[in-house]
Amino acid sequence: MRTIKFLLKRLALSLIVLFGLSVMIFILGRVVPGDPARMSLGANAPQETVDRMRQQMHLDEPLVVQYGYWFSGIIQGDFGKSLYTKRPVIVDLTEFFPATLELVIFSGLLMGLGGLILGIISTKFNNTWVDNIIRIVSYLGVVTPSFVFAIIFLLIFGYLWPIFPTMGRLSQYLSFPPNHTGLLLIDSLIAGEWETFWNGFSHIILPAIALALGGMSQEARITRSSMLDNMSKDYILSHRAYGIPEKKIFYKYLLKPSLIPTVTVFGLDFAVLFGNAFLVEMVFNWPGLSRYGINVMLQKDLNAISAVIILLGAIFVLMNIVTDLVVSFLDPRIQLAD
Amino acid sequence: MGDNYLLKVEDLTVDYKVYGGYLKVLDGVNFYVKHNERVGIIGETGCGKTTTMKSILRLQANNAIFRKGKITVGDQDILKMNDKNFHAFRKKGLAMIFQEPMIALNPVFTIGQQIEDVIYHASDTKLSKAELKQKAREVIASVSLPDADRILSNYPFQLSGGMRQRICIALAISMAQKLLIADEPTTALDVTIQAQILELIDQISKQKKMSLILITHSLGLTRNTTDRMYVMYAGSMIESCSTKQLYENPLHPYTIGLLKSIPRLTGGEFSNGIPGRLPDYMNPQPGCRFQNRCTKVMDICRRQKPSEIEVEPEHYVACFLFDQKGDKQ
Repeated sequence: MRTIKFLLKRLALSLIVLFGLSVMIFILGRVVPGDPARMSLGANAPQETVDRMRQQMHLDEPLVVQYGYWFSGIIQGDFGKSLYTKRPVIVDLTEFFPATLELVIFSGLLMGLGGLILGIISTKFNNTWVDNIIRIVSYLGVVTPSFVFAIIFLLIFGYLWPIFPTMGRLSQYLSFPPNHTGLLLIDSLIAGEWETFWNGFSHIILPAIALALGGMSQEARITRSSMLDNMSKDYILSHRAYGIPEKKIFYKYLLKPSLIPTVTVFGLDFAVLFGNAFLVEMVFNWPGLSRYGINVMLQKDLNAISAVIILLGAIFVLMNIVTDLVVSFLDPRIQLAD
Repeated sequence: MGDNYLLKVEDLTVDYKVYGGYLKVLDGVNFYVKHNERVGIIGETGCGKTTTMKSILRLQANNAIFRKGKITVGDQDILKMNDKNFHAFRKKGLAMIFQEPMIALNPVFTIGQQIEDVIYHASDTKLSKAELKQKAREVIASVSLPDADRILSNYPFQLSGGMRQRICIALAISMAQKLLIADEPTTALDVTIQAQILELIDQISKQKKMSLILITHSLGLTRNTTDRMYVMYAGSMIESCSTKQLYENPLHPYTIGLLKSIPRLTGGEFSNGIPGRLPDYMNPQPGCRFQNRCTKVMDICRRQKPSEIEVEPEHYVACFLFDQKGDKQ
């Protein structure tokens, strides 16, 4: 009951954030110089046609009314037409988004698990060479942008030692399994096509690692520092004094409170993966949303741009809610103190 | 050495390794606790009380270094035990109540989870979930907390300081033990709660026939609870005697100063306390560690460390003032 109340409160707040985002995007779209109707029709269209188009697009009405039309469209999934692909934006999104989603989910799993495991190892072997190596490597991981990793991987595994494919989601000779979720790995498992699964897996592994390394390093560092910090807390001492075995203290009583900052950062990093995916997808020629996003930005395709931004905004907001929820399970003080 | 000693600490010397050297905190601590005895240890903050107790439980900080000394519990030298044996030994014999109940409980686990885990690991037989819960309820009831079920499902932050300290006592007695070490159990609490908690510790240790070490820097608290007292200063015991003797006939200049600094309800001015501070543990001067604050300091105090002298039966003082044979100059 308490959790539901907590969740509803967060949802309400998120809706306000999303509303603010939509207002901002709408205003940006309207203050950018240039007449959207003229832009979509081209410079040579006669003035009457443009006027008719303006009427159709409700551009002759007050801004508030315009926003109303625009917003009700978005709610129904109608983002307008893309000037770049000449198709409804929503069709483009459903085509390109699953590839990005798959990459980011895979990468997020690597990031979270890898970061956690490295952090725990680093804590366990605190101040030994194991810990030092993990710390140095994770420093490098934090400061290196993911596209640099992508390029390095491309050089090593695509050129010097070509053991992984470096282009696209699936080799040419294979066809996509029947679409259920849009996620290739899951769809191929559903269809029971092992060859497709392994092929897809070998395609996704390089971009996913390149994308994950930064966040993974961050998570490892945070897990390590918060575990070491909590280790000297009095309650760890009292667990020890009251006869709890060391292993249990470490993996239960120390790990749980130490995970709170890790989860918080993981939530943010996960959302940031969508942004970083822009460049990694370019490097690995991954047919995802990011490439589409970059192309529409270069084309000043406003409808598509606002759709991409709203989608990413919604993902950020969603990740924040999920993070809050997980953290509130880890730390009862957050839910109960409200 | 009769068999009557439960705990015997001999010449315990512990340093802390810090940046730039060693803090020579414990400088030959000697004391003992008999079966069923209630011992008070007083001394100002930073004199090594907690370090001594943590050494007994082997909970010392990572930078602590044992230089010499011996800690025997029963007939076992606990500094020589390996970790595994000591772990099994500790949970059967020794329990500690910490200074700060606010931070001695894990904030993200319920009281029930924490108590049941302690009971689970202290028990020789494997207990079922229901048995664990039942035992936890009993323990909660034994520290005079009402509504055990609610408290077991609560998190530490939902309880008051006094309740938390009761939970800590409950945790301590969830293990079958012989010695209860209460390290300033009431320092962090309200004055009104202090008396209740002390009474609870008193009553429970009597009930369970446990020996008690009560550490405090508040003299008033030890008077009615303890049989025997140690006064600790800068890493060693400087006076030990029965509680009655200590209040009636304190001998060491430090003890006298300490007793004088208790504000009295019956009037009189506030004492100024004992001027000066604890010595520098990094480079302690040779001789008595109290020399710079002592009003009766003599030459020998600056050269030699005083040893314990039995001034009257069972009343020991480490001070040259009482050294009849010694060279007072």
